[in-house]
Amino acid sequence: MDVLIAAALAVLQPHMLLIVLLGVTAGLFVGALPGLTATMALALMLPFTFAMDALEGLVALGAVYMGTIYGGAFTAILINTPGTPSSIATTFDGHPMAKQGRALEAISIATIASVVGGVVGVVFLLLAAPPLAQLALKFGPSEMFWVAILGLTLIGSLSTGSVLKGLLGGALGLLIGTIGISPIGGESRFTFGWPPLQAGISLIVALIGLFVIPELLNMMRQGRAAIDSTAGLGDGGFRFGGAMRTVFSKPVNLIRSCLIGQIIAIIPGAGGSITSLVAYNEAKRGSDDPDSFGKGNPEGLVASESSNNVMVAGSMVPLLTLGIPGAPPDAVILGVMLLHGLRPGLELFSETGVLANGFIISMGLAALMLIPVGLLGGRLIYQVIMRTPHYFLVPTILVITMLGTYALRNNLVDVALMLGLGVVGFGIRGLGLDAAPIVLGLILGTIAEQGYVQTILGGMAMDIPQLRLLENTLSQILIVLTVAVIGWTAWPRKHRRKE
Amino acid sequence: MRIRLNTELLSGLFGLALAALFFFNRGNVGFLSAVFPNTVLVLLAAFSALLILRGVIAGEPTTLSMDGAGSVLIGIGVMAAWWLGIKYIGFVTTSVPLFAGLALVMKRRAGPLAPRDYLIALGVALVVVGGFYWVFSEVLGIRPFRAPLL
Repeated sequence: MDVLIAAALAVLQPHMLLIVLLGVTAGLFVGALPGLTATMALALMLPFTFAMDALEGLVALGAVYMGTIYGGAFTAILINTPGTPSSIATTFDGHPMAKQGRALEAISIATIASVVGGVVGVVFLLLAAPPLAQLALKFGPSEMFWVAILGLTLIGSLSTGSVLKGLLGGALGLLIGTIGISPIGGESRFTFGWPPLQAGISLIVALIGLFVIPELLNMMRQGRAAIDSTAGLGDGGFRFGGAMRTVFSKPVNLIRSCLIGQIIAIIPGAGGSITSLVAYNEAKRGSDDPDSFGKGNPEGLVASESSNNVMVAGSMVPLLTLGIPGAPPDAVILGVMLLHGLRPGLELFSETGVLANGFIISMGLAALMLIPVGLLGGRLIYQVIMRTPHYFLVPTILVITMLGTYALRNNLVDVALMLGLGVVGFGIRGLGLDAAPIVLGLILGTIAEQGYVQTILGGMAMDIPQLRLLENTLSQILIVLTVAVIGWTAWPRKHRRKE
Repeated sequence: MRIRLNTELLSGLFGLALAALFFFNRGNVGFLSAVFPNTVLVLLAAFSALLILRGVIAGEPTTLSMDGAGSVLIGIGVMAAWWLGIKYIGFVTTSVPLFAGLALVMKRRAGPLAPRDYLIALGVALVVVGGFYWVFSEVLGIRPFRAPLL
């Protein structure tokens, strides 16, 4: 409890509150711009945290994350284009409401639902993360290897339409992660005769390259000059009281959506779009008036926005306890943690408890900050977004990515690698290969390699040392889960429907 | 223009090509450094082979739109020129014209350009590039690029 109080005091400092406010506002801007995802927002904001200490940097990125996911609702409601994939389900009822002249009501409802979802996710993370981190202590090298493989399988299976392509992406990421000095043997690998590769490929470089550059190339391809608006904000102000009544008038819908969001958030790779679509679908199934869904029913809006904001903090459960990002934006958070020498797991909560809990609490503050930022600044933000020419957005983002990537290690090689990975990322996207499994493979490569090699070293007396990986019960459970995930997702959907 | 691609076959071939590239660049490393990448290479080859097999037996071509492919190529060219310019000329001196050029190329797709657009693009480029350069070098304390010009 002392740690929690100290953490709360640490983030309730005026400069921390200012960081949260600025982070939420920046996230809201980026999230509301169609095509810019939460991962991209965090990657773009990352360089601005270099001058901050670890807690300030994490607080800033947590606030940006919360703001981005919420910001996606703005354009989903107003122009029927989800600002981020997490807001896809928000368009279903949010935009019809806007077309009926209820845009401000829809935004108000989305705001309150987002705040509730954000706070629920933070409370769950505060309660669940420390005991789960304790549990992670029971994991030896073999279990850590299988945890990494399970995480990779989950994200590979869920992030793309094809299990095989997802697994191929994961394997590619693992292979890219082996470039540079080996973590156990200490030898240099796969440098292709190019000395700069001895340092390996930085996670942040890969993240910016694989997530930001393909989006920019896509924006250039689409060549959209400005956002097309089909519904304005309308007259009058935001409806805070009415929105509160609407959101809390269907408590079952709200609780169910938050629960769905929380459960899916823990699964690496599931992501906000799946979360909000499942919650929306369940809200429709459980509603007294399912026919009104898709025609401007606030219940659908509440389900989508509460569930996707639960995911922001909820997806950090596997990140903070095991080092496995629950969603791609979490990978950027992990990058910041590693930059500051922080390692996920029990140590994070025992040695740097104030920092870990402060970061979690700050996300709750960021969720609460959505009310003033979204409702008071919403009209201004809307005007700015509608007037932002897309043709200036692409070169502006390019400038930030170039400077940010260089700033990582004051190294222009990183900029070249980032651009190269970005172009490759854009190309393979056309083949149906997603960036998320590749980046997760890169992240989990070190965990998997250390677990794999250490387990094999312990089994050198056996004829086949690899069999040591299958020996203990926890490993066997993880193997069964991995096989089950592959089996479930690989089994043709039409067969599942028949069954 | 639209093209139809067997993406499973192509992604399998891509995976196999990468596996081959890494396989022939393994070098002389000891058991501890080689055992994990070797296992990953086997897995990568196996997934690629399965994708190729599936692409050949039951591959369903995916239709891809090639609209805007020219803009993408221009974008890739601009990025390459940007990097070379930063390295050999200077960040601001390279970024301002490329920023303005890229913005104008994108705007031209929406309609013809007026003389005023050139001035606006140049002005915005100066403000954005100069602004971010100042923030990074003076506020965030990032060491500036080592190039002959600013």
